[in-house]
Amino acid sequence: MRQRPEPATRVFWVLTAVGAAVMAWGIFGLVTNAGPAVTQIKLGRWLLWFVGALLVHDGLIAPLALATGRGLRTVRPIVLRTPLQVGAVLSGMVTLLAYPLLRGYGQTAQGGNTSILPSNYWSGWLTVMALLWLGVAGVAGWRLLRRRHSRQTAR
Amino acid sequence: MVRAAGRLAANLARWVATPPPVAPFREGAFRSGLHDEAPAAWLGVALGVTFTVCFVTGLASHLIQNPGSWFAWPARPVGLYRVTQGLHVVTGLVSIPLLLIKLFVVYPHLWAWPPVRSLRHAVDRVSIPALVGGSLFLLVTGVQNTMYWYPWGFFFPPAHYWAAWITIGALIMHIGAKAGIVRRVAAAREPRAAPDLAEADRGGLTRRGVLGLAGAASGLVFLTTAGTTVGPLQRLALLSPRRPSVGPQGFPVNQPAETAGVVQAAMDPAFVLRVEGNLPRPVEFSLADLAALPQREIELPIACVEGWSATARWGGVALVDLLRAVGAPVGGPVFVESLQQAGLYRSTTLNPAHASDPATLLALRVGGEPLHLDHGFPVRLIAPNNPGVLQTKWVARVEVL
Repeated sequence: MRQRPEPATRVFWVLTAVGAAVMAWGIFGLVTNAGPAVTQIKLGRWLLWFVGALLVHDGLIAPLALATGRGLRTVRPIVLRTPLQVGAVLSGMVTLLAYPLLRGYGQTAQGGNTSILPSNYWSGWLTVMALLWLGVAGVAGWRLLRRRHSRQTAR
Repeated sequence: MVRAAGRLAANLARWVATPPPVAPFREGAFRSGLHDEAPAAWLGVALGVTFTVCFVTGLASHLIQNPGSWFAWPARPVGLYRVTQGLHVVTGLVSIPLLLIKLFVVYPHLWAWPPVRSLRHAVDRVSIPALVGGSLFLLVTGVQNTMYWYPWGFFFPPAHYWAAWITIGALIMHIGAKAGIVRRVAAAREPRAAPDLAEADRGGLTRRGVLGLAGAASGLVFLTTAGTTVGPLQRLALLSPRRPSVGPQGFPVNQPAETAGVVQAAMDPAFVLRVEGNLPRPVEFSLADLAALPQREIELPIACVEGWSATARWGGVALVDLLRAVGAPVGGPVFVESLQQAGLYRSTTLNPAHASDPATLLALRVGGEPLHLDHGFPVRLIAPNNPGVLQTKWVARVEVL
């Protein structure tokens, strides 16, 4: 990725100062948070989730997405690449969001409350995935046909 | 000695100039033309908008629940909180694909070599981990909270709230650093040609295509979740942790009577509602006494901080009618307390606007039936334009302040 050096403008320094002040307010609030035990932040746990989210994304999710992208760039015929990229990204997104629902993580929080996670998330997830890949297959098929057609007319 | 120091300095300079021989640092490690400033800039603008919406609506929700002396949330329009909190949750959800795709686009910057090029770049290197870590933290914990999944070991509201300030601070710094790039990208009519990179992407998504994909992914997330608050989309909300029409009497419950530990006290035939405080003498009302007071029926939304909302037709005694019946002044704040003995949301202080609004009810009925035990039988508070956590259930005591 190309880098173009940016001159340090006045806007840059003003917003850096304002942003740093706002961030400092957040850090101040975080470390001075007090109150009954059940309402506390527990800084160590907070940091674990903050840094953990960063590490899981940068060390796992992004490399996985990059590797998938690299794999899809070798697919032939090349007209299939875009539909597969779109299918892969949307599937990943839907699955990421559906995963905790499929595992039913929230249901233990409030015993006996049937209005939490009330749906059949397996059927929901499968429906979205089926429609998605039906769409991907449709577009891919159409692109293949168009490619064959344009080859024949070129001949 | 001097020569040794000179050699050391030269070696150090060479080391700094040469990327480590590990894959992500290598020149050409990221060949796709999608790692480009144009999609990064447009996705950045979109995220700037969604994060601002989330921050403002989140701040409103925080202030409603923790009002300072200078803040008074109005009672009208009755559905305002439903809109602001619905926006908060739905905007956060649609930010997820925008953020993940944006991070994909700019990922090579993480491995930039040398690690720090200039003072300006050093500022980036400090603010960006705060921005990315904060954004991921907010979206992950926010989504988990809407799912009632609490694995963190910390209390969600302040953890999420202070992370939001840190993230917005980092975002302001980031805007200062990248405004020039956005301006340059917006001014460029023709996409810059990058022929050496484009070869790797043949047949795949273009830089413009990746923006379309981000929009499609956000749209898909919207369609499958927004039904938690947007009525007409409810049937599409296949991936929503709540359905606004599912629950006893046709809408959801947060805390059932059993986990609140109020079943016995709420079902007790000797139940009385005690009204005290700034009035001639305390008065106790049995259920029959309450039913004998003037009754009102009103349609009001119930809107939860977790984003779901539903409209119901509530029936019962208006708080202002109750106050008049006991000879208490109308126009001051009123404290409302539950039968529930413990718990963070067992009481509410209504500000004067809410306490004097004729739509604020001590509800006995919903949809024409007595309240379900899990909805707060025998009496619950329902005020216009307030978050669900402040709509105290199983009300046992009203104190005029």
